[in-house]
Amino acid sequence: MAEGDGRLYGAFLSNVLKKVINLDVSQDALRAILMSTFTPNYDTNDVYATISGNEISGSGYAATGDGLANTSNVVAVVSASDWVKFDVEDASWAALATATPTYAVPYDDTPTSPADPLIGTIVLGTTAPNGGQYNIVFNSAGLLYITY
Amino acid sequence: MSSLSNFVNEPINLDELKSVIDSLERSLSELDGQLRRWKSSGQEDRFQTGHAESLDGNAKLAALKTLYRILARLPEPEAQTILAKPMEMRANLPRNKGD
Repeated sequence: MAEGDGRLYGAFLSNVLKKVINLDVSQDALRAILMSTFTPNYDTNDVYATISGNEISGSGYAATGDGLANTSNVVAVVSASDWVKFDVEDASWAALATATPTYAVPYDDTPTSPADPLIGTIVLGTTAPNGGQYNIVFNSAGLLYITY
Repeated sequence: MSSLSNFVNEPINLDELKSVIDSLERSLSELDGQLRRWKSSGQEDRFQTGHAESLDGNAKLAALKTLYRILARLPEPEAQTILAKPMEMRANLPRNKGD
């Protein structure tokens, strides 16, 4: 997969269908974490605790990553494309120490059972933090979309 | 940290400032490991308190690093940006094959 590529976890849609996750505006609080050496398992990785051992650590980064404000969340049917999109605030760190994170993983910090369900992964590629501002900008089509 | 208040009137000791930065980085690193353990073991109250301290400490660390960079005349690192593509999921209805 190339830099910026994203993939959803299997548990994500399951949790949406079970009303565990609510991505509407001003509902659940999402966060995005950065992973060090990490091989995602899209079948078995389901909550933060299953992957937190591979989260990066270092100056400018606090465990559980960056909070993504939900006040501008968008959940909308895009009829021209036959998809439902979800978009949220971009992730950023103001002064992230030099590191080589491999993936960003957004997750839902609100549910308690299961606690902190994962959403998916974004490949970070070769654009590594250099001690300055580090941004992950989500596509205009959204963080994710579901085609129908 | 107390020596920072004297910077206005005294020559700035960059080594001392770097030492303060290193010390704060070590403290935040230890806190980071503890935060991960609290979060993963469901100790949400402890986690929330510690996380607020971590955010505050990281903000102070960033300010100190900026100060050090200015005083040492080091260039500001360029912002790095990843352009994420949207994650896609297909929600198809199963076809009825008349089983």
